Amino acid sequence: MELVLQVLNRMQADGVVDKYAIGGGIAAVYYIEPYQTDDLDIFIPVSAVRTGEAGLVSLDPVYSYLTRLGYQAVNEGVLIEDWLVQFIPTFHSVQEDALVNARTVSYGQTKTAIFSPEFLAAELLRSGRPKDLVRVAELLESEKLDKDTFREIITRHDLTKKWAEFVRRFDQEG
Amino acid sequence: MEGQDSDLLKLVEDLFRAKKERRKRLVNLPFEEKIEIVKKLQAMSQKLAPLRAANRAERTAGKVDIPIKTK
Repeated sequence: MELVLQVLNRMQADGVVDKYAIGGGIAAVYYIEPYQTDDLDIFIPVSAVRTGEAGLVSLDPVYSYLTRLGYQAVNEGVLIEDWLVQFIPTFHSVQEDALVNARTVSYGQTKTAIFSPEFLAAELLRSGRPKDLVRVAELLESEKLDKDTFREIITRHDLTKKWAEFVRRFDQEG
Repeated sequence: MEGQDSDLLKLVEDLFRAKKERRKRLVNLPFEEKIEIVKKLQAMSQKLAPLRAANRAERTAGKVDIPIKTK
């Protein structure tokens, strides 16, 4: 994992992306108990992707850079060392805000950026897959999430309907 | 009977307490150690994948009969 983070930091230093942050399952593992997750979700600014004439989005700048370093595109990501890394452009406002407000943390000797627990929970709520909602519940139960900040984020990013549905399904306090 | 019930209740309480403590311990592990656990879980899942696929194929082919008791 540390080597992967070093590659991502190098990619940032070389100007391929202005910024990146870990979200998804691995970010959740940072805050809650570890569980199986297969890939590493890396959120990058929309400015790092290329949009074609037909409006199709291409991750070509990122993929080309990593291919030059000898890494292969596999399925929906790039295999860097032994991790499948998926690059996710921040098309949703909550993702963009999460990226801007990402925390700097250390992994071994390497610094990296990771979504805060409040933004991570908000993004998982927006995503809304059953497994994402389970993580939202776990993050809410953890002592690491500030509930007032989380509520402010979901209001600001128009996620109140999803929150109301989540509260109903998971029997949470609104 | 009442004694048996309270023993059972205590056992369940102990189990939940142990589970909560285990979860707390795991939550507070360093990130690096958590990732090691994730890697082990991935490796285990990869080892089980062919067995799961074979089981799924047998169930699909109707070769596995799981009797369900009904009244």
